[in-house]
Amino acid sequence: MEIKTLHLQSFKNYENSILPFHSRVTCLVGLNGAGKTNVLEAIHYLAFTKGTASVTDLESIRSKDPYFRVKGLFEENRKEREVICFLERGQKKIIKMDGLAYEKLSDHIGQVQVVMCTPYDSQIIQDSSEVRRKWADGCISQHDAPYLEALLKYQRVLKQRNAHLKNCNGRLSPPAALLLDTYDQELIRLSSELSNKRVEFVQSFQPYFQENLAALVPGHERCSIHLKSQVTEAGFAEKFSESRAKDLLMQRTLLGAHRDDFMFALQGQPIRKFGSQGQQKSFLVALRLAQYDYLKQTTSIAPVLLLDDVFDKLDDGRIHNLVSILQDNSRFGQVILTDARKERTLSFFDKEHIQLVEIENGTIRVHE
Amino acid sequence: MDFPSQLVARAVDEIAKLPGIGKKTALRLVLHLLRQSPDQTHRLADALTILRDEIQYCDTCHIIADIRECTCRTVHTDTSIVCVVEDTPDVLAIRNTGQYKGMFHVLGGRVSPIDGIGPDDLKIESLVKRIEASNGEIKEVILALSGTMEGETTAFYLTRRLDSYPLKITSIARGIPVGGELEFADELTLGRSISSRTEYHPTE
Ligand SMILES: Nc1ncnc2c1ncn2[C@@H]1O[C@H](COP(=O)(O)OP(=O)(O)OP(=O)(O)O)[C@@H](O)[C@H]1O
Ligand SMILES: [Mg+2]
Ligand SMILES: [Zn+2]
Repeated sequence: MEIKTLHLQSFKNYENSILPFHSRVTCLVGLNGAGKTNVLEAIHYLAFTKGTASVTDLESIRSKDPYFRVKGLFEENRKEREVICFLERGQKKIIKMDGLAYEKLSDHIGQVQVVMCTPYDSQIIQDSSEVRRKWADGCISQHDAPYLEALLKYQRVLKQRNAHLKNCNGRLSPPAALLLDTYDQELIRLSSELSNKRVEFVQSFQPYFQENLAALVPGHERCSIHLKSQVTEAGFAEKFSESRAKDLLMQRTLLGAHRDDFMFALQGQPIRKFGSQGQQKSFLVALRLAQYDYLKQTTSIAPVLLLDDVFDKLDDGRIHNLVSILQDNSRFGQVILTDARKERTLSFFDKEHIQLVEIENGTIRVHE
Repeated sequence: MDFPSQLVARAVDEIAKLPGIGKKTALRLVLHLLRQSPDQTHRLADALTILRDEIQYCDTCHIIADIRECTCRTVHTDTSIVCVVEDTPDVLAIRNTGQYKGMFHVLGGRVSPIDGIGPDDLKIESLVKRIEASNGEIKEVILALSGTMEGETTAFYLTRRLDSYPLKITSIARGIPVGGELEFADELTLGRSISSRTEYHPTE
């Protein structure tokens, strides 16, 4: 998959700009605050219908403008597809594929294959289990539509069950108990569907991760990913039922797939606590590169790889390794990266094969 | 809304509470009414007040009617089948298909604790009583609920509630778009889905 051009209108600090991209490596350079990350954010919108975790939709509209419009021209297998994301203040966000608006935004997920590595990825390590689940759910949903459907249904049933528990206020009349049974049966069924697929995901993801980590990190830094889930343990259904009294008391659902956590370890210890900044960053870069390989394998489409500030925090050895990884033409298709230090990037890549785009305060200069 | 008239603002606020109507549309409607004769607005207000105060639901099938005993008990229908729907418009949609001659039972919504609607807020116990009172005459219950998650929960709940009765419980075939409301399904699809209804199995 490849993005040919990107048209930004009133998006963040861009008033009206068009960017072309190289089919291999495009490098966006410019000083801090120039608008490099914003370009990648825009592509993220076109793939995932939203930005990265950092800002809200409304904050992406250029200050004082009434709307933003982002249009990308993608190509996959010699077929062009035009994706538009449009957001007007006070209105619903619209995503259009080849001129046709989606009824449900979630239907767009999986249409545009993108993997993005951003400084905000540190949240995947630092934050609650929810962020890691979202990451894994995103990886699976990109190629498994029934999984996404089950996930959305699970979230809906969970919300209803929690609302029901609250309405019960600790007391359970016969109809209320019967309704709870109904939700329980659904949640137990969907939980095991989701958690089992997450187990499978970790199994097929792990080798890609280890391979990328080994290529990136000199020497041995043993890292691993595993899923901690009560759902996949024996007797989950019974445990779920036994937890009812507690659920009623706490007025929320204490067990289920929404409690799964993906454990990230360095030398057997939580990397959140025991990894240095650079080790955590390396872990995350390897995670994203593995996500790239995983997606490419499961969808047979090479995603667009977006790397925001990817060299930051890495030592020279790791930067060197990363650059050699990215130079593998047989492995990667289109890569778009940002760097505030233009000379550094220029020293890494052969000028013949990259497109340099200089950005200054929301205006774009393309080098021929 | 910063409208110079408090009276307009108040009317707009009330109208904007209706589903699918935003403040802009509400304002347009209010200004439209002000341009018409006062009679027009009075007739609208009267119609709404009378509707609210005098509306009746049939005691048996709970369809919206002006009387508490609708034709469901007298008209010659197949009294061995009850078709359970969420709302009155669903009854009309199914009647229009011409494929169904049985009785109806209107639940008045679907179970959704988020919206504060539990099983007790729907005409579920009334259905149970109706089945008991029929002394075995009712042999089949067709669940014709929407394909939303809440519709499914309601269907699932009903089958569990009706477990102990010697009934055949069927569900209309899902030619209906998932999450789609019955009343919007076209007649042909709906008709077909009733005649080809299947034994209800939750969560397939
Ligand atoms: N809604 C908005 N309206 C106007 N400007 C905005 C909006 N949102 C963000 N900006 C501005 O866009 C500018 C560029 O942001 P961006 O994150 O793309 O910079 P960058 O080139 O990636 O910088 P760095 O090298 O520091 O990462 C910021 O100065 C920010 O204030
Ligand atoms: Mg940046
Ligand atoms: Zn009646």
